[in-house]
Amino acid sequence: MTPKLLERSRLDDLVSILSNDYQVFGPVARKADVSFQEVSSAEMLDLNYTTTTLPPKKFFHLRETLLEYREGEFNAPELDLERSILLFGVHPCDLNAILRMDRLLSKEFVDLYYLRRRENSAIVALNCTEVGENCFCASLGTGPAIDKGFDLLLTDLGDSYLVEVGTLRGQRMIEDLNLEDASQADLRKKEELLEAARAKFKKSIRMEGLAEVAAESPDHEVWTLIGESGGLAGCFPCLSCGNCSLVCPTCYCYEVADIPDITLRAGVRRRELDSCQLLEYAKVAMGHNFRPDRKSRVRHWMTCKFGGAGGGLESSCVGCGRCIHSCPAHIDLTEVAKALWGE
Amino acid sequence: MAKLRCGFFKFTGCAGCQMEILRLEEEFPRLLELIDIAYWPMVTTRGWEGDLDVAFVEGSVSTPRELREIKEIRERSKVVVALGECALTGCIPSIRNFMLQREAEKRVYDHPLWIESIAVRGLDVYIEVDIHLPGCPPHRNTILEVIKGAALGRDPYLRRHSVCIECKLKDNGCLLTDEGRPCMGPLINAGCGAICPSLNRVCEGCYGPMSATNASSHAQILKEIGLSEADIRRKFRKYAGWTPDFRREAE
Amino acid sequence: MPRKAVIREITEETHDTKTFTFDFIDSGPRGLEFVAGQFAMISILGYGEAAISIASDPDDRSGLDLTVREVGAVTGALFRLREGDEVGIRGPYGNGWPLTQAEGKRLLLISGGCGCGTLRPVILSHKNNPRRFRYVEVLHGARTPGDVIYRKDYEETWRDIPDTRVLLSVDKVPAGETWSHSVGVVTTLFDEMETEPEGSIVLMCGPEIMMKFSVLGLLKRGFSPDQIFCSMERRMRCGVGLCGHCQLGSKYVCRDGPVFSYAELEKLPDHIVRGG
Repeated sequence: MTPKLLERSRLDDLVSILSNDYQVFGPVARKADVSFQEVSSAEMLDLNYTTTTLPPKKFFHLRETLLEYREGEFNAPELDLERSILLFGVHPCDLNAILRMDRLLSKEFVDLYYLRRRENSAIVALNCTEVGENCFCASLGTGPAIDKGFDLLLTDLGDSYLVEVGTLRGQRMIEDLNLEDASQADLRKKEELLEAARAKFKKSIRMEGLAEVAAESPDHEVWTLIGESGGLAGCFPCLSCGNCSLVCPTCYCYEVADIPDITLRAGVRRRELDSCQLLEYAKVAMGHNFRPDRKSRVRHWMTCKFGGAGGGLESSCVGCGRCIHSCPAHIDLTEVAKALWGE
Repeated sequence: MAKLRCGFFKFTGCAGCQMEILRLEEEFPRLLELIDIAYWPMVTTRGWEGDLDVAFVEGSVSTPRELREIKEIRERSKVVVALGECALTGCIPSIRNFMLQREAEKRVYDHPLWIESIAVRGLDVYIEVDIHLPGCPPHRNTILEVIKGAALGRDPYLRRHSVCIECKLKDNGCLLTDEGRPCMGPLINAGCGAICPSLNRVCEGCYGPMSATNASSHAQILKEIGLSEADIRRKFRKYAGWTPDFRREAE
Repeated sequence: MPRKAVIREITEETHDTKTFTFDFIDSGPRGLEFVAGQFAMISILGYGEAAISIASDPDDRSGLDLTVREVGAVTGALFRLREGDEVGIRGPYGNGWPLTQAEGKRLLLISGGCGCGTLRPVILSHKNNPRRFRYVEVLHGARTPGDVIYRKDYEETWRDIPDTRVLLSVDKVPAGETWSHSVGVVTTLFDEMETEPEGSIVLMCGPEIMMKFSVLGLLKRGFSPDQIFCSMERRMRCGVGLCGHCQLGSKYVCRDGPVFSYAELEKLPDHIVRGG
């Protein structure tokens, strides 16, 4: 379908049409950060945002009740999927992360809870014409533009948004708006803006082959510097706080626990996002811990991002920069990569 | 299932932890199907007789009498729960440890000679504690989990990770990295539900150190955002300054 | 989602280890189709789930045997259950021992403590199918004679299987206990061992420190890293390669393991089987 043009002033028309069929969530500015929140009008949106605290995984994989039990009987609970959700203004890095999560959680064994939530969602993506100080998606090919995974894709051209359609569902979303076709000049402008954006990145990472380099360097000094003492490129040693895992759009590891109610005869089995940076993560019965030191835990996280995720050799990092921003100690994945490459 | 014979004891502390148990108002009737209150001076005049399945001990040990009593509690109880931060780390009363004993006594009492006190210490120093329930006071859900765990014959499910995890699970913005405010969350044991950061207040550390703290690194971070050395010392001293995790930074 | 199963029988193995025989009581088959070396997730409501190696006879699908040591919340709760009580079980999970590769070869089984549970299906398969493996030599070590799981089988039943040799060892013999086998760590049995590297496969399960020294001893005797297989233990929450807890580098113990060749393990971090 030919790309369309949506005048900036009509953004609210789009949001209100979407609100008829979906519960719409988009980037909303808060005191000092941006967060995906439910929106009812375009003016609530902050589409100039660079990043949000939690990635969109918060809608699919934060915590979940796996089973409910009562008097010895147990069953899977119904998911609360009354209305479909629509994520508005998802950046390419985050959309790429969602697509990777889709793959990681539907390998040999499928995570039904995740997939059901995903199937219940629609996505209006937003290409990045501005770049955050911690972004490095361009070097990974996961931004600042995207060409798949969305129902609609917006690019801010200034006075208007270029609207590209990715699915039939997306086509229906804009049907009633009677948008005019975009011109060749509009399409050229999109490419110019994205090209300009690519030139703005301050950080980059050389990812190809990094997984092997990291796997072959378990005793590299960089692990000691970020894990124990010294620091690297101005960072302090890791705090094991786990922020990096929670904010990473592709960290999917979770913890499971049974929570009985006060009668003890009923309760739930619940999962919740976990972090491999926490001391207890690799502890087994009898108290033995396979990653007792901070150095081995940071190394594990980094090598997972570099390519160990899901047992594959595909990087799960999309260059969103959240781990850098959210790290109180300023540990910077791109600096770790440089050190491993000997740069 | 036989009910658990429980005792509730108060040492040096503010009684806030016991109050938190009393605040389980809705659950209380059903809680009493799991436990028998064998001894609890705050709610019953009944004296302490017989042995206990579970002893909840609030407060730190700071007098010779408490020292004798905690040993007796240990001998007469199957499970000893250190209830709250004073029983774990000494908490706010342990600030006293950073000055001379006599000076502290003189500041408070007109006749310090009448006072018999020793350094403020958590129960761990004197007895083997089975369950450490952090918090000032512990969150009601964690108190319930301890009781449920004891009734089920398993350890309670109490996670030892940072407050940051709870903050992120609530999708809070970060007071430290977004705003440069001196939050202790990355070092502090979760369990509170990140209540202060959720209300736009930095974590002061009232749940004590989590399981794998890196205090010296965090002290550098606090310095970087502009805290003076005296302020940093106070941050570490406030709730758990006497613990091995924080002591170097608190001194 | 776990399937419901009932405890048919409980066998006391040692002071801290029991073998539970379960029958599934849902609409599916009573037993479980599995490959020797796989594991199951046992679930007890209110306590959680734990990964336990399957110890059943792989040719007998009438029930499911799990040999369990009491070490945590779930196993503690299981130990308080009686015959007739219900639990949840899901599985089987993991890759299992490379028995197809081992067919026609000599098998050397080395186990320590309760690591023998996952090797029991191999021995039973050998008993049922005399021509499957050329020869099976079993080396099992425990702390004391009282800690030897399947003791009667090791000392009598399995010893009588044709083409089978059983060697036992304990670290120490406390006063008052009788023991007619070796004393010392399991590797002391290497001197009596008959298996030669040529045409053999080694299957190993036990504490990592035991596997480490066993691997060292075998390499010294000329075994190569790709003929030694180790079964690894890690914290597991999901059992199916999703929760992440059991990762060894980029590998999932639950999905890519629990059995790894030493050639693979050599390249993986965060374990101590590899020396150094």
